[in-house]
Amino acid sequence: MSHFKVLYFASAKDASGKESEEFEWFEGIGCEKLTQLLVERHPDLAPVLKTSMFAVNMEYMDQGLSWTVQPRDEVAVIPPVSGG
Amino acid sequence: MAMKDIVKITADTISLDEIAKSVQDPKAGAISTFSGTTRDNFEDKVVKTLAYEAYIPMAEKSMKSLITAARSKWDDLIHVAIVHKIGDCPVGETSVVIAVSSGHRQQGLEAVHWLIDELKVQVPIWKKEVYATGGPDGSDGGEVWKANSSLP
Repeated sequence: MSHFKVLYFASAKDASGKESEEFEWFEGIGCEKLTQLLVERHPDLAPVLKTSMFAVNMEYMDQGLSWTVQPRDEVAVIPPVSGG
Repeated sequence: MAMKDIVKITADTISLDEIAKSVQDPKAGAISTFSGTTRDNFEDKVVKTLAYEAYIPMAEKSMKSLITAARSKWDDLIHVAIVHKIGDCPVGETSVVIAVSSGHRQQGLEAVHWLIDELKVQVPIWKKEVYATGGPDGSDGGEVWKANSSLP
């Protein structure tokens, strides 16, 4: 069975209570489905995801374009950044 | 001429001096730098401590691509360094340094300005402010993940 990994940072880490975890992969996990999977597992993530971006394999995903998670991808929840 | 692109995310104290030295070059007529330090207040709250965290591999990759983009905008740049601190960062300490050596000052200064603006928008680094309790400001403590003004 294939999996993919999700990393949580900052407020997403606080809301999920985890730094990372594995999810079971299946065909057709785009932005909307991914959001749904994450919220099902961690309801507290819902408000965080409203203002976060996804990065897949260290690239920001454009919310307007269609993309899907592939097996063994590293997905990251990126809340609004505050470096500097 | 070998041009250096230096990017580093570190839990160690950052030294502006050392980073400026790391971009020295005999062909450089200028070393331009930006140094960001942590401030002790947010609105009416007293900030007790600050901490940064990063998605380290993506942050380093993202800083490298910013340097590549800067080199395509400004052709006079010689060496470029971007160093960001993570972990606890007491008030007043340096959290980020950008240093650029260039043949002449103008492009170096412009590049430094552009690099810090872009870093704040797109590099995956987060700052948490922990507020003081029971101070004269009347704040009740707590902590907040900050957000810079715009998303990529």
